[in-house]
Amino acid sequence: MIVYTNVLGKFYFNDKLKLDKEELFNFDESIRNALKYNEQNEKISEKENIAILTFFSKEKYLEKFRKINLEVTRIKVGESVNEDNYIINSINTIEEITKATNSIATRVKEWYSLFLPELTEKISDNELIIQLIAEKDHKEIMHKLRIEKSLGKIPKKETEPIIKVSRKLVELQKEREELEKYLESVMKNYCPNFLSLTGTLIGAKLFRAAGSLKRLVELPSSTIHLLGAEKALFRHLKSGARPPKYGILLQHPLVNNAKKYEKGKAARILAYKISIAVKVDYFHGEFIGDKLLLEVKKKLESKNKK
Amino acid sequence: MKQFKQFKGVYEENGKLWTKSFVAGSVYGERTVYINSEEYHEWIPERSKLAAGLLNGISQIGIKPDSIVLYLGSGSGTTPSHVSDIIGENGFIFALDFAPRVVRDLWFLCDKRKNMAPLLADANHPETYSHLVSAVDVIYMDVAQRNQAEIFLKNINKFLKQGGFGILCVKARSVDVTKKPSEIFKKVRDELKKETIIVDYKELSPYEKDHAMFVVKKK
Repeated sequence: MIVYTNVLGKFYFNDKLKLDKEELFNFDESIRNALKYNEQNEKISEKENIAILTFFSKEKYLEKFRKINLEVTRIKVGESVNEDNYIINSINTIEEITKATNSIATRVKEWYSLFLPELTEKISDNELIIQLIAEKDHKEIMHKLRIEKSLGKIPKKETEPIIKVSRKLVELQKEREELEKYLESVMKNYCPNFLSLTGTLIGAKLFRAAGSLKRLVELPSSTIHLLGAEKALFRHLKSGARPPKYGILLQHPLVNNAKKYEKGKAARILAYKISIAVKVDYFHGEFIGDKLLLEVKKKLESKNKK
Repeated sequence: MKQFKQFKGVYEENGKLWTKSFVAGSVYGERTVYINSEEYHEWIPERSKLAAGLLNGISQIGIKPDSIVLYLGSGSGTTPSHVSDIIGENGFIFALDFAPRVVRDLWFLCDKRKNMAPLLADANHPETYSHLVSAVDVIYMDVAQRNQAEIFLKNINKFLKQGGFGILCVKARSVDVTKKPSEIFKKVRDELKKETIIVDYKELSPYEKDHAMFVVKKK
């Protein structure tokens, strides 16, 4: 007599593996059974296991398997959404907004310089140009930038559409800033040690490259060091070309501001401490982010002294 | 449009492969045509390794009308949709994948097709889904993991009926990016030979680079 339990119910098989009795679960019982870790059925041999599972490959059971799996998978997919997703979607959207606003800003600059080319001559920062166009009329801009006479002509009606677009761009830029604040708050709650070492944007980019906090914990620090430099890394592994010295971490101020021949070391040391930080975060340890950042800075200074 | 070689449920026209839609509509942007008021959708070898294997001359796949299939690595359902077409209304696919993002898409496909069920699970741990499936006629596996062969054999031992077929897609770069593909394929072959009978083997170029397909039968 073998008793076998799966999501369909409890089944009693005789020694010849023919079904003696079946106690079918109702739908809710099936789902509950499915979500618990698989019940330990008695130790049965591989052959018996296959024979029993073959018994279940009948149409009436397959129909039930389908309904149960649809519900169980629905629940599991819903449960799988967490901070990892929020962080990755935030940084992707922030970057997309930046790209889009830069594109449109280029158009707006091109168009407005028909009327006031001196503006784009004097100022190079896109965000500032767009802000001026959005908030001040051309007389105020000319006064502010001390432009006496312009190369262009400025009919008011023709500048209205550009001003309207610029105002929307300023709003979009503000949304991006709000998103950065949201991203920071999510990371402060989820991975505060990691955040204090990397900062919001670089941290989120590293996060995206690794895929999740769990993966960051599992990665060796040498991989964290080179996240973002995969093309160069695999080229080195396959053809023996020289290895990369940093990936995303190059953007970090501590690496960026280091001397040219020390950027690699700075990135590596930062990666070591990031490895520790993510483990503290994942296992909910005390906050030591400040300490870790100090250790990185000290190590870089001592390397300088040498 | 006629049957492709001896493969029931697979059709060809103009050198292209097609399957008869079990449920109408394009699944992943592929072309659809109507012939004698029946819809067929194109089976693109660059998007589906099973199609690539068939075009490269695989002699048997075991997937035919009424087959019950365990599909490991379903993704969003590109290839599974064609398998669903082939097996028809009396066949069944347990479509499994590990990534929630793609299983979300797969769920909607399975909701529409009465011969498919979605599972969010790790093929490396069959004990986590053995209570959710039955034994199957065919196991198809396309997961890019280092220990692909080991996962394949684990699932065969647990879920494949006697005399059933196993189809394994091997991505050389997932096993070891520094070794030569031919070395890796040989190693996989040796591992499979210990527990199964290898009935066919084809490399998938030009459709996929450094990929191979093994077809085995359970001893």
